[in-house]
This record gives sequence, structure tokens and C-alpha cells, in this order.
Amino acid sequence: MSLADIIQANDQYHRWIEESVDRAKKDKKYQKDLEQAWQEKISALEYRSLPTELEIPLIALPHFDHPAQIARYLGEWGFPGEFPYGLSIYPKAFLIVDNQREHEEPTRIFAGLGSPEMTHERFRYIVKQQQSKRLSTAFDTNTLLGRSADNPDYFFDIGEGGVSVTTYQDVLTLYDGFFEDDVSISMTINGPSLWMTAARLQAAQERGQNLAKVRGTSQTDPCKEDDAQNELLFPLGPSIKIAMDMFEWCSLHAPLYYPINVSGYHIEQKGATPIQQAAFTLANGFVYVDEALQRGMNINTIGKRLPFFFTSGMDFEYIALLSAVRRVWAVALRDAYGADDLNAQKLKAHVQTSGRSLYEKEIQNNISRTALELFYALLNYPQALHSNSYDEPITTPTEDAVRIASDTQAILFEEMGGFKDMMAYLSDSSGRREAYHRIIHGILDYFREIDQLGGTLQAKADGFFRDEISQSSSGYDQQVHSGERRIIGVNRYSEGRKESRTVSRVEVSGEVKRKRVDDVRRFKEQRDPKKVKMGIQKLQEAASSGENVFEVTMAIVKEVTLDEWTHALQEVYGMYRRKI
Amino acid sequence: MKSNDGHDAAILVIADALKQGGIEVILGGYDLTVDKFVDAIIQEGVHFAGISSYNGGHVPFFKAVRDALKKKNYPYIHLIGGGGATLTPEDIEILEQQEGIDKIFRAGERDSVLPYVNEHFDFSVVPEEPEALLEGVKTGDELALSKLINLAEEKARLDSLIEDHRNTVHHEENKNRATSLPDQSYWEEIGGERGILKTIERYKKCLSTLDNLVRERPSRVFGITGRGGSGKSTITDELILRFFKDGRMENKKVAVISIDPSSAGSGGALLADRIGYIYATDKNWVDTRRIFIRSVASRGYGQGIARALPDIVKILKAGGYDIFIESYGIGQPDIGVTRVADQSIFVTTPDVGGAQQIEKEDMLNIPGVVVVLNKSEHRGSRHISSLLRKKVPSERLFLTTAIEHRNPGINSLYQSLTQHLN
Repeated sequence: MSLADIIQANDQYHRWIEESVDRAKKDKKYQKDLEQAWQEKISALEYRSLPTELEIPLIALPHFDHPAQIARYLGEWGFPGEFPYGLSIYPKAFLIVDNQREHEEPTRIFAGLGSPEMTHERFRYIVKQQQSKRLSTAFDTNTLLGRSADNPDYFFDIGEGGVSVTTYQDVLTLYDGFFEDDVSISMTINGPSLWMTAARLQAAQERGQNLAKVRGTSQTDPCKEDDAQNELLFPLGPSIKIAMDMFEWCSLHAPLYYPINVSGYHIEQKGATPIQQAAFTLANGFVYVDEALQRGMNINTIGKRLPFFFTSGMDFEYIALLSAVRRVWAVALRDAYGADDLNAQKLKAHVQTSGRSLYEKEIQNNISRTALELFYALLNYPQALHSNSYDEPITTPTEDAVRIASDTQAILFEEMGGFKDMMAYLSDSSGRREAYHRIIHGILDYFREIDQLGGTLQAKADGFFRDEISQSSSGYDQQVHSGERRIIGVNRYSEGRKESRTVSRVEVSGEVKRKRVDDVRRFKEQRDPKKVKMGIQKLQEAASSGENVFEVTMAIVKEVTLDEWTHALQEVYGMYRRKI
Repeated sequence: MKSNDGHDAAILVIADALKQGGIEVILGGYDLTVDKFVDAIIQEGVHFAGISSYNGGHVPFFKAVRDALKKKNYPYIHLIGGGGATLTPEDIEILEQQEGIDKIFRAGERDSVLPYVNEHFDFSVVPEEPEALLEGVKTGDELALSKLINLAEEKARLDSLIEDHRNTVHHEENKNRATSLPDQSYWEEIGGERGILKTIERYKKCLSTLDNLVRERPSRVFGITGRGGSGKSTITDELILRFFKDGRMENKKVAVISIDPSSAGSGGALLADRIGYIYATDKNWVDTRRIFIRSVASRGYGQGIARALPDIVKILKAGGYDIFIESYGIGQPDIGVTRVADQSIFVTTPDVGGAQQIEKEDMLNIPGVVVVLNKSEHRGSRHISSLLRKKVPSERLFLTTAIEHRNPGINSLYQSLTQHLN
């Protein structure tokens, strides 16, 4: 499918809305149908009494004086949980009814530092604060670049900014006690994602879990690496190919596991505007859809298995960014790709507050920024949510800061009246409507440009995505520098403000790093070298012949370490050339 | 400059500001090891080295770089660094007070980098004892090679100044003065550099003594040219990878001279080719002890090369290296490289234009030039290759896809270039 088809489907959908609005102005029978449908919704509304004794309906539905308005509402937004999912993919997303939530709380807190043992301890602490057990893992640079912790050249990087993982044993240790059906494990990893996922799935099996019940996700978004993060192990083509190997394999053997997360977050962090984030991320998503279709996978299976990851930031667009993205996706999946399973049309999204919006100066102001970004995120009803800790500009989050970040979410969900009481209570506000339409237009305009450049992969190869992002990035920088973009306590009201910091940095000691080196060495020494050699050979054969590389990785992951896996495949595929 | 991770936005902003301020900036690479970083500093002969670190673990890293440079007796360096807020005030104090790091810039201080560099750059560190370097050159000591190349570049800079001066005087219709060296007042005007002229005279003598050595050590010089974006760096890198996998080359050394244009306005330059040499700088793939990479700014010399190039080539030949020169291409004619290279390689792509464009391409008229049509998987490749076939014999035309690992086109190119090398 080309982007032109997706643009066409969206344009057609837009025309369909206008036609049905027109019809609702003239056609009496249609008017009656609309009014009747609306009336049914209203009569079905449940009511509740707030602690203050105010009676309110569970869903906020607008008052309409004319059926044409109903037609527009249904076309533009749809009821919560209904096509085109402008408001929400679920009808009662965050509501607390009879002291119960229909869906899991979206809180997902990111953690990872030092050794697998240290991070494991942090996980135990985090789940104590959550109703549902959702772990989210950050890895150190060595791990993300497929290097062994015992590589002396990169000793300093061990465990910094994320957990260090090199061996199968590390994965067992890291998630010990969490290989349970009610725990969802998320791993922020891309280049070495196949190895890490294979290790995680094998470990689950070893601990007695049925693969069909394993829940969780890994990032595995090579396209956005090429746009932003620059941390691929192999060139983009083979990176996409093996990611799809894993995608296909998991759809058959680990149906609750999401191996790919189409991620806009890093594109935004690199400097993209909100609309660029939305357009480029969706374009990347369609690359995976097309690749999966080419392998003969069913569009309904594909649609259900591709979750997304976006930023919520301080810019106005975030009031409706996810809503707009959801509509473009739903229309594309239904009308261009022909997905008739409703679950395949629903774009599921994890949202994280913007790390780029946080500053070192007056560092506690970051708590307010994050809270407001959460609020914008929640107006869009995401399925999972991470709030940054206020101390992230200077350190891997401290425990106190993590607690505040997680509490801030709970304050919005559980304490403050609104999200827990009434579904979609601000959702079709005039401001959101303006943003929504302009973002959809912006996305489609970018699609047109990308299509003219020869499609997403060609545009990437020619540097279009990176150039656009980099221009926005320097523009943003300039705005902060000149004060046009006001940052309170940083470039505004900043005179005489204190420079002194009140938080200290979390550090990984030399002792922890040395122990990592020893542990990895011991693991490597205790293996049967023949098995390792055979495993590597099998892997390289699979890569050279185009077989499913993930299947082979599953078979060898207990012996072959992350760095060995990486180098073996680099010998076949070559290394990724980072772009400037 | 180096970055510890993918967060390269700040590096590029600072590099650009330095370039605008007239400084030549070399991008060292992402995620460097101490060894790679120190190799880059020595081979490039830089005066300032900057480290951007964001992920933590930076204090020991800085210290290790400082120690390694001390151990190698590298004389020029100012070590500076930054990386935003993860560098705490305590870290900065330790680094600046105890570990001998000259300056750490904090978040928001990026505008102070250029003034700092200007204030601390000292011309007096340039002069060396050239005679003392000769022995090192003969044994292939990288530091000696680098110092001598620094002198070559310094000589070229002074030659340019003198030439400019002569041209100015010439315009003033004072032809007698124009044939002599500028007088003392001129040197005072441009910064009092007369003293260095003596060093340069000694350097010239030293260089002439290298002639015998160069004759004794036959080496091949490959000159690669073509427009920016045509894939020259990738091709060079892939050729070097094959060189190191080639049993015939076991005892050979390779040098890369990578030339990029200086900014016409400021005189600064951003030299980024080193980042593109992912195999040539990685000890997992090549024997990095046998490779020397030097980035050179054109300094307005034109023709895709730099004034110092012939001297640099001579020095590296004397050091026993086979040489790849990556010239820059901004249009035509960029044929300067053909004068120093034994074998010229012209890289072009399918989007070069039509027959008229190819007619105009001077490089195609260089006798014996090897032509590479890179990105040959792109649209228009068949058409352009048939036009090229009319200009160059098929044994000198190669269709490549350099971004593909183990690309057969690059294999053939390598075989052809090295068929006479032993």
C-alpha cells in the first residue's frame, strides 16, 4: 500500500463526513435515524453521585439542537470506543465505577540501573506501589549497542543510565519472580531486541510459564532508530527484516506479546514538532504493516499487534495529538487496508511525558510540567502512561522522584474529580477540535510530501526525515535561546534564581561494574564452546539464507550471548552507518 | 569531538558555532572508546578535544583520556567537555581541579565554547623541531607523522598568507616588493608570526630528505572524488575493510586523507568523514594499528583538495603507507586530486542528470580514471550506466551499492584496484 492510498482513504472519509452532515440537513428519514440513535445513547446513560452529592452521567455527551451536529460528532469523533476512535478506543477508559476500574490503570514506570540484581530490586519496589504489575526496563548503552559487559573498552558505561544485560542468566536474574501471567514486562530496546525478547521468552518457559500467556512488549522500531536514535546494529533493511521475523513468530507462538512498538517518542525528543512526530511515526507504522502483509499475514492480525508510543509535551498540539493519530490510523486500516476486525482498527498507545521539556534549573518545576503533560495525555485516553521523574535532567531517577512521578498519575486518576468520574468530559472541547483537525491536515500534508519523494523508505534513505527533524530541533533551540519560547525559571523569571541542586546523582560504583565483568566472564567460561560455535553457525546460516532469524535466536539464546549474537549477524549484514 | 551516545544534537550545534567562528572542527565519532578517541586526537593533530557525555560514567572516562594522552606525550591538547546536567558541579570540580581537564561547559553554556577556544588557542605551540620528527616518520610513529603533517598544514597556511600579500601588493602596483617576502610590519599585522618562518625553512629541508625514503617504499595513492552524498566515504570504508581481509596486504599500512571544504566566509570547517569510516576505525574489523586517518580542510585552495596535500602525501608515503585520498566534490572541476594520485576514482550516482551533464564531467576525461556508479539500485541507473559506457571502457566502470554489505560491485572494484598491488 502506498501513502497515496492512505491519503485517499482519509480524504474520502472526510468527504463522507461532509456528505452525511449535508444529508442530515435535508433528508428527513436520516434526521430521524440520527435522533433516534442519539436518544438511545442518552437513555442508556448511567448516572452516579459524586462525593459532593452532585449527580452526573458516566459519559459526557454534548447537547445538540440539530441532527446535522449529531452526524458531524459521530463522523469526526465517534462515541467513546467507536470508530474513528477520536475520543477513545474504550467506552469507559479510566472510570472508577463501584470502586472498580474496568481497565488496568495505565501507570508504567521506567527503571533500570547497574546490574540485573540492582534493577530487579527496584522492580520489586515499584510493583509494591501499583495495583497491576507493569515493569518497564531501561538498558545501558553497552546492552543497547550489543556489547558485552566484559568488553574492557566500555567498562565505564556498564550500568549507566540503564541495566547491563549480556547473558541469558542476566535475564533470569533481572525478571526473577516476574515470569507470571499477571505481569507485563516492557523492554526499551531496539538493535538487540530479538536477542533480548528471545531470552525473555525462553526464561518465561523455563520458569513454567506458557508462551501463550506471556504479556509484555519490546520496542524494536528500526525505522525510528534511523530517524532519531541512531542506535541500530545492522543496516536499516536487514534490521526491518529481522524485526518482522520476530513479529511473525510471536503472532503464532506468543499472541499476547507485542514485539514491535512504533515509537514517536524519540523522534520528538530528537527535536520533531508534534505534527512531525505524528506523521513520521504513522508512516513508519505503515512500513511494518506493508512488510507483514508481504509475508502473507492477515491485516486483522497485523493491526491488533502494532502498538504505538508517543510523547505528551508542553505544546498545544498535545491536547489532541493522539486522537488525531488514532483517526488517521483507523481510517487507513479500515478503508485502505480493509481491516474489518474493530480491534485491528484501534490504535493502542503508550504515552510518556516529554523528557526534552525538563530543565536542570529550578528542577522542581519539572513536577508541574510533568503533571500538565499527563493531563494533556489523559485527555486523549492512552492505554499506558509513563510520567518522567523531575530529576531526569541530571540523573537516573532517584526513588523519591520516581514515587512523585507515579503519585502524580494517581492524583490525576484517583484523587481529582474528572477522569475517574465522567468519560470524555473535555474531549470535544472547541480547543481540542481545532487542534484535532489541524493535526490531521498536517499529517496528511506530510504523507503527500513523503509519497512524492518515493515513499517512506526512499525518503529516509535520502535523509528527508532526519533533515526535517533537525531543522525543527535547531528552531526549538533558537526559540529557547531567544526567549520566544518561555521556560519558567530558566529563561523567564530566572534572575537571581538559585543554581544549587537539591538532588544528588545516582551512581554505579566501580565495584558493581567489576562484579558485572566477573559474572559475564564466568557465564562465558562455563558454557560448552562447541554448542556456542554451532549456535553462531546456525544463526549465520539462517541470516544468509533468509530464514526466520528469530526462530533460530530462540534456539540458541541460552548459550550465545548478546555480543556474540550481534557480531555474528554483523558479519552477514554489516554494521549500521550512523547518520549525522 | 566525541559523543557518548545518540544524543548528538548539542554536538552539532557547538560544532557549527565553532565552524562559523573560523575553527576547523573534526567529528571524532559516536560512542568512542578511550583508545579510538586518543587515536583520533593524535592522528588529527588537534589542539582541542571535546567530549560530550550524557549517560554517566564520564569522570573516569575523562581521566582515562587524559592519562592516555600523557602516556603518549601528546603536547598540544586542551581537553574540554560537556554533556548537560548529568555533569554535576561536584563532577566538574573533580575534573577541573584534580583530573587536569581544562574546561567543562555546563548546560546552557554552549555559547561560551567559541570564546574559550579563541582565548586559549596559542600559535606558539605549533613550531616543532622538524629534524627530530624524521626518525619517527621512518618508523611510522603516528605522533611524529601527525606533527610533521601539522607543519605541512602550517607551511601551506603561511604560503597562502604570503600569496595573498603578494596579490595585494601587486594590486598596489609595487612589483618590486611583490617578489620578496613580506616585511616585519606585515607579520606584526597578522599576528607576529615571523619566528615560525625559520621552523618552516627547516621543515622544507627535512621534507626534501624524505625523497629517498619515498623512492625506497613504493606505495599506491588512490584519489577518490565525486559530489557530496555520492557515497565516497562509504566506498572508501568498504575498500579499506577488504584491504584488511586481503591476505596479500598483511604487512601493509593504509592512510586515509579526507579533504572537506572550508567555509568561505569564516574559514572554519566541519570535517565529518571520520564518522563515516565505521569499519576502518573499529578494531573488531581491521587492525587499527596499521591505519592512519587524517582530516584536512581545503582552506580555500579549490579543485577539491588542499594546498598541503602533496606534502601530506609525501610524509605518509615516507611512513610506508598506501594512501586513499577522499577529495570533496562541490561541482566541477574538482580534479586536483588527479595530480597527486596514481589512480583516480570518480564516484557518481544515477541522479547525476542526463547526457549533457555527463559530457561536461571533466573527471571522465582523466586518462585511466576508474568510474563508480554508486547507488546503482536507484532509478535511472540503467540509463546513466549506458551513457558512462560510451565514455569509459567496461573494465574501468563499476556499478555498486555501497550501503549493502559484501556488495559484489565493491568486490570487483577492490579486485581491480589492487590487481597490481603486492
